[in-house]
Amino acid sequence: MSSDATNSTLEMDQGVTMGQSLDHPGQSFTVELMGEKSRFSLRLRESNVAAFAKATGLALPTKINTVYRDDDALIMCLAPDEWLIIAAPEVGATLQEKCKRHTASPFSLVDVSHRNVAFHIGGEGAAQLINVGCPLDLDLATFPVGKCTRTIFERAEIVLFRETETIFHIEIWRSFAPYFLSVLSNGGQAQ
Amino acid sequence: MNNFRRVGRGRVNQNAPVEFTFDGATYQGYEGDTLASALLANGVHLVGRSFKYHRPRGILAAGSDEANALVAFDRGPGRVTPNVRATTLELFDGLTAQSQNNWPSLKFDVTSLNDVFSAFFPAGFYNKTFMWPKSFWDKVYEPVIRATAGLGPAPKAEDPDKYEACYAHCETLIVGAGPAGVAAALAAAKQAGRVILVDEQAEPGGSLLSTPEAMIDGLPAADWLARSLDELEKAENVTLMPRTTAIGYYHDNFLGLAERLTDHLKDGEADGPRERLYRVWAKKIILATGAIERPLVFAGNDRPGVMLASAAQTFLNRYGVAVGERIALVTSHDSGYQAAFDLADANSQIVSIIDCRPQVDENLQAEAEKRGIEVRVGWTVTATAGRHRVSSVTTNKVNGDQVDPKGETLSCDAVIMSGGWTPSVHLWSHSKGSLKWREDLAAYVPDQANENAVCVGACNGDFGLGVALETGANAGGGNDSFEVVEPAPWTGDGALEILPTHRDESRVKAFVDFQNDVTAKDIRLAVREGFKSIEHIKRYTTTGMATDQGKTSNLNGLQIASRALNRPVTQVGLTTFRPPYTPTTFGALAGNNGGAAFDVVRKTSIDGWAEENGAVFEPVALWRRARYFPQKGEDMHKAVARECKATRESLGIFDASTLGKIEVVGPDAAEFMNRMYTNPWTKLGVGRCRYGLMLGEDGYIMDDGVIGRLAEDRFHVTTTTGGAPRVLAHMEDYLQTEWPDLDVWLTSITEQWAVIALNGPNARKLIEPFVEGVDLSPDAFPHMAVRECKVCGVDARLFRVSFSGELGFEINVPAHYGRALWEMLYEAGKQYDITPYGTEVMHVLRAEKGFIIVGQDTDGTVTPYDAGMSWAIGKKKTDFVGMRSLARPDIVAEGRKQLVGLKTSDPKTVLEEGAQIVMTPDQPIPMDMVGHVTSSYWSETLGCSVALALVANGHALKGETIYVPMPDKMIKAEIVETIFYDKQGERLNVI
Repeated sequence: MSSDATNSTLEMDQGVTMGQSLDHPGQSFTVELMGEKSRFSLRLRESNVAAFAKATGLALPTKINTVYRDDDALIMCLAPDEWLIIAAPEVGATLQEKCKRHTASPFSLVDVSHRNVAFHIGGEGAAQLINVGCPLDLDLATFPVGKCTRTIFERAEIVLFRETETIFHIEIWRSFAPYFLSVLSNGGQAQ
Repeated sequence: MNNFRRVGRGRVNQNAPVEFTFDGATYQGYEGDTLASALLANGVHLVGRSFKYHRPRGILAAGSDEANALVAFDRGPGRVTPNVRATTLELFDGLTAQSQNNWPSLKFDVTSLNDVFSAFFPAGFYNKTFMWPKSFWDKVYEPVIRATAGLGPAPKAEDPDKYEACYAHCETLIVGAGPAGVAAALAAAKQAGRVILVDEQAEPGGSLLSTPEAMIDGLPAADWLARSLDELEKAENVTLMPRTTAIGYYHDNFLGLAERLTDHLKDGEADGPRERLYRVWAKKIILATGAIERPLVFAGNDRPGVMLASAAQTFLNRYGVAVGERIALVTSHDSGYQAAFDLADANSQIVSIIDCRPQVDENLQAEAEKRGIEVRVGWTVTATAGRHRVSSVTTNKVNGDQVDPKGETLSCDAVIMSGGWTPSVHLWSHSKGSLKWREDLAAYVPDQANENAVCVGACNGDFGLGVALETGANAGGGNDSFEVVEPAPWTGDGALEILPTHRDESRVKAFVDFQNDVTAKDIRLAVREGFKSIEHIKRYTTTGMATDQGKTSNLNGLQIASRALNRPVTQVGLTTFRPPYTPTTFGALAGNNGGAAFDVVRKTSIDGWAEENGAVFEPVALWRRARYFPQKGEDMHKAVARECKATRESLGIFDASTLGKIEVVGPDAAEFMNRMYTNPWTKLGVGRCRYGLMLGEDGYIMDDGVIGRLAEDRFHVTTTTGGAPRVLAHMEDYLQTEWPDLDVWLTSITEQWAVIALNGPNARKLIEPFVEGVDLSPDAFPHMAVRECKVCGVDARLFRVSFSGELGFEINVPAHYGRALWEMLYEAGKQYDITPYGTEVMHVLRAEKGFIIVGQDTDGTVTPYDAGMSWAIGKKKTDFVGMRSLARPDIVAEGRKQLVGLKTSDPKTVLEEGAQIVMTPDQPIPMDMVGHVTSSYWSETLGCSVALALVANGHALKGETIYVPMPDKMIKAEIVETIFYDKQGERLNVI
């Protein structure tokens, strides 16, 4: 089965086409379903991070709520012992191999590629739109570019990452995505 | 019409007439009017009937403190809002509203006989009268009371409007855009940080809108306001929100703001949501919520045309409406005078100022004299007259403690009253800020803050324009001073709530709470009957319990109670203000959760196929799952029978994706599993599976599932669909708090994998061609084995497991591939008559095998032994969660309810799940119930019903007869083993 099949399933499930935006007249935002990604949940003790990073070459950010980004991957530090690694599908296998180079101390690497789907919310009204369901203060002073966090959106859990001043990346468990879009669509009417 | 309109006065646009309908009659008002001001301009004072006595009522106030003038605001089907205060309803062209609480019409209300017979309806009447006979309550009293009581009618049609909600943050939130709030916002705007200024009214400005003579910094109040608002509009860090009510102040400076977006627009202009709920966190909160004028309590003070003096002043100065042509002022407070002066200056006649105080400020008297107004110092009011509108007021001289019984009756068409001011401490009290009593104001004012909040202006008991502006500016972080000229400055001194009378007070109806029809004598009666705390008096008389939460009545009620008890007010207690500040629509509270967003409905990646193929769904936790797939003409019974038969005979396909899944990884994974589950895990080989049973600390079954060992340090755990979140939380709880030393990590993978279960003798034949790299022969891949492999070219985890008793496989593929794989298998399975089945068949098949469903056959009080599953407990294990509890005396005692099978003596009879079980059929009711049916189905395979039940001491009762009493019959059944089908388990081994 091909990744085309995956993307079309993504679209069918979530009720939006990739690149499409929610239809509100005069809106100041776009909501896009992102394409297929490789995702891993990495867990290891704080004390072993340096050794792990050295052995694998993965630059794990050690400050909670921060990310490391390069062309290959986006690594979010969600807890002192937890990282969410997101990469293009073709890079996933390489990442897994890299992690296996580390044998000195225990860690857990679990493939969660299909557990989540991701949305890009962009535009001048993006932060305000996210505040429809997310209680965090998204002012640039308190939620600067490069910050990530696990949080809630109404009754669903999300991971929120600010890519630029006006673009946010949201990860959400796949079966919660239609609910997420429904709330966004109800709450974004007058923006 | 508009006879009471004063040309050149007020802020309404007298060039923009607007038509509206009230109780079927058409009137004209102006843009900027409220329904109340427009009705008054037309001389309409009678707008409603009261709650209990159905007395004619008019307009009491000019703002959200209105207690009487509640109307039904009608925008068509589903858009009728009951109990809207006419004083806050903005007029628009085509507005339609109706009066409430009257039948058959406002002017002739049959139930107003309640008023004539009111001696029979004292406080506590319902409690006293309708106690007996008990059986009358449901059938007679309650329905009749319900039909005649209550405020407006609840709407029945679905609300077509949209609502939304959002979160917001700011450094400074200011509630109330009167002089204090505006001054605070101007100062805060100059600091760094976001400022939100909210006001419940359409136009910000508060008292500045109705005091045109006041001057600030050399400008008339209205011009200063316009300049200030313009400055705030231009400030980038300020958000100005009119038509927004701060409804509640919660912990940590969190406030709810309800913004009304379309109610003021005429039909067709309203686009987008009707209301929006803001949930705001503010670093600092400035409450500038002002004060509410207090009515005076005297006989007939509720007649239409009797209203607050400040309301009359607002109607005149803001809306250009005189509330009458011949007006009497009844006052116990200086502030009432200015209203009278303004009305006199606008060509209304002030027939008299009746001041019940023994002395009055000379300047005020001089001002009155200048206008030719008579002032009666030391007079009281003992009656009013007029059927649908006040026509006269009777005033008597007070000599010391004595009221001269000879009164004078003054003809008038309106009475305005002023009993002092009550600071609006509602929000402050929500935040648990403390209050102190100020004798001079006869009011509670804010004392100690509980949050980072401050009260400024009148809500802090600081009356006067100058002090409001200055304290507001200070609170906003500025130190501006203002040059203020006020026409008649007054202090808060000298409030008196109840007017003396020579009449028998127990026969006089002097209203305290207008909305709940509570009179002064009701409060005195409550005290006579032994109630000493205001909390009890409130509940007995219902004073302060209406939709206005006693905005105009609380302090009057408190002082009357204090006097009757002969105790200081501070010893009578104070009731608690609770959100919302004013009635709030359910729509605003529902916010974004309309339609599809009402709740999370989780769907698997295969759900779409099920929907397209006619599945009937059922909710399981947050998921929706296909229950069965009826074909043309089939009911549930027939569909389920067909699906069962097809699966047992050939091949069934089932979407098991919702099963909870947790990946347990780390060198201590097996040790962790040993501690969490009753079963032993150390010796489970890689590539093998085991059924796992999880107990709570109490020893009762909490969850179960098949668990596969993928590697020495990696387990693929499955849980029940509904149990997934609590099992993960339970595991994390132990891992983080009890065993932080273990090197093991837990990751939810429920949504990573789509799971397709194939059951039936042809299951292996179907999947064999699709599976790469696994020898599926029975010896190489036996029952309870697991392999990581490729299926149709994608990574898969293949389990050989069975929840049906048939040869079974569960293919896990990454979720996005679920549907594609399902479709491929379905196509290829047609040669075996592959049959999709749903949760109902899954339940039947497992019940035929006696497999339990946690939460159905267990109820949180069932141990492994009770469930006949002692085999799942590792005999050599020294500990696991719940192990110690299994040795508790009650757990090992005889006679516990145990899981058994039931076979009805008539094989066609299917028992009802939940039905009770008795040992003998001819007992007197109540019978001795020994247990209940937990699962019950028709078994097409066996041609009889099958059932599981929890029965006291059930394991020892095999072969005994029990009875299941039903409303129409007694069903006889035999206690049997829990396994009904293929007791040897041979069907798992089909080659």
